[in-house]
Amino acid sequence: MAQEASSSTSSKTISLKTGDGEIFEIEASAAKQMKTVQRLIDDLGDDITIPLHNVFSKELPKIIEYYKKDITGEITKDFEAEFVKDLNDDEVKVLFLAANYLDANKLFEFLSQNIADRLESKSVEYVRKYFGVENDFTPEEESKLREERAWSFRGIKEDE
Amino acid sequence: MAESSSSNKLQKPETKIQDRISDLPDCVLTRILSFLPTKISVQTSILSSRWQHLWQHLSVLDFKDDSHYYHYHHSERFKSFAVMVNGVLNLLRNPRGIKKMTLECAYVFSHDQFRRVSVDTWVRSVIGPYLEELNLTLNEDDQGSYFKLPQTLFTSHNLVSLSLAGGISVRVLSSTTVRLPSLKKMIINIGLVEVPSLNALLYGCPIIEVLDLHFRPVCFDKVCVPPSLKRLRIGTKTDVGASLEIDAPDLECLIVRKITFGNVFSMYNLHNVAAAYLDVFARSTGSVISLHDLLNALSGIKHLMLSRSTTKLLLGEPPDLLFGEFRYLIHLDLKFPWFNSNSLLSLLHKCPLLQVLIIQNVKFKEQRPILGCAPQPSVPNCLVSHLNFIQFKGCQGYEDELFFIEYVLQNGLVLETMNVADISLDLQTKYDLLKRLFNVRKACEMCQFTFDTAVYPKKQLCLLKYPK
Repeated sequence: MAQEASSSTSSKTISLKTGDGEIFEIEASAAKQMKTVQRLIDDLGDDITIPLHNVFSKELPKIIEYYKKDITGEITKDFEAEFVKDLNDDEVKVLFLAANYLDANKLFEFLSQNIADRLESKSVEYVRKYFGVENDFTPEEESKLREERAWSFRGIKEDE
Repeated sequence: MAESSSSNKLQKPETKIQDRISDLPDCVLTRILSFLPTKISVQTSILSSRWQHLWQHLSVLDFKDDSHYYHYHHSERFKSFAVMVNGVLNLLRNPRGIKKMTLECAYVFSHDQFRRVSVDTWVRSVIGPYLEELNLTLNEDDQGSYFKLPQTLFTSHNLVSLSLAGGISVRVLSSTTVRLPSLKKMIINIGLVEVPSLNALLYGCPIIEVLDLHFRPVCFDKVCVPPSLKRLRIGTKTDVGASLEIDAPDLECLIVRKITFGNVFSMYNLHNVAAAYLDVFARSTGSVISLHDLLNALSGIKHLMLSRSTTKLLLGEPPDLLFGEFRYLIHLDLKFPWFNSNSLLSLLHKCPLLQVLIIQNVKFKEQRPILGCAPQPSVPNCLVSHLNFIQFKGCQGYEDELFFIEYVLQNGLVLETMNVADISLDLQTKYDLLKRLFNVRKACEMCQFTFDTAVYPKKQLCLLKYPK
């Protein structure tokens, strides 16, 4: 598609295409924060629409919103709290995976902390399901482990 | 591209996401664990065989004990906590490779040898060439038991951030040369400190940028602050106070509490400080001159807040303000021990570009001195061209206060908001006062005169926000 190369580097925007075919624009300075995108720009040039196979139209706008605030230095605790307030655990997980794929460090760290906060009070079964972990311990192995690590389970409610 | 998305439609989206999580490499999963309290991370060992040993690769530790919040069985609970910490340290794959440790527990019961040895062992076990961040909070008791930091901490080559709170003694032995070449941030909030030790510690931090210091000095002394600082917050906890030696050309933010001045003024190169909060007190009559010298040094200041104790030192006769103009000051926030319109107007003469003025009367034990009321020669420049927001909290209805409010309403050509809040008067007097003020002919047509509830300027200058 015909792309006009912008003359001034400060207001340059990069086109990103999600895995489900939608196109979004971001500032070049925001793209710099996502190392994967930057690498693709370095390889393919900044006039081309950058394809992101593993990121979809549901989550990319949120990520763009975060980095829009980041380049103006406006990321505060309040903004971050608002950012995740209405997201459920799965939505955060999707964003987290996207941030990991995009190699977007600041967002990745923030979402890691948020996931850790959400999982802290959850049961073992919930965490297994959340991470898609299949329990490959036999009941005997599991109870032996629990006994060995009793010092870390002390004082915690047993899960149902 | 279209093909791959249609084949994905056949799979349930949930399953797809979970596959992707289990596809994540161990190091990414360990990174998530590093944000959890370590005790919880250890529990992930029962998730599956893959997770059994993941936590052991952690390089970030977070131990918080809450046993001191319980009324009974402190020792037993602390012992459980100690067993957990020791268990973790024993099973870590690379205990010497710890990059960050946060440890919070009580350091009560000074005769508790087990507790002292435990904390000492834990801190020593992470001090090493890889340690980048150490956060130690030892909740103290009334007996003032203090944990002595190992001297090896003071030569941590890669330490970037250090936070010490509670019952910790920062004592640098004369045989120790402090060398913290990577330290950028230090937060200390403890009890008794010998200032020479503190100075020895600061001397060994050549690139430190953020310093947050709250302590009780053993006796009055001078704290020598490193020249590389960008943000400084320093406060003493008693009336003993301390003086400061600062020569910090990169300093942007300065917050001082219960600080006073020494015999020789030693605060230079503060022209880059954009925001400052000053709570200083007078130790001698020479202190007033020193405050003027300090205000003179803050020539580039944009946002200034003065406590009641500081403002008191400025409430003299007009010719007594011996410092230059604040050519860049936009926001001024003053707390007054007693109101004096003359002094306030003299101060306003020093702030030609001021846009926001916030003043608050704070009740003071001392008596209002009776000062002369020399008429102002001219209207302060800021009132004519820049001052658009004034808030006056704690108006007590004195004639002098009313004179000031009328003066600014009559002369403030761009005064859009005049807010008089927290008026401590009976209803009738308040009514009369407000009636009088409403009838004043306002220089600015758009002026909104509001009272009772405090309002805030639309564009709040947040330069004094201090990073955690």
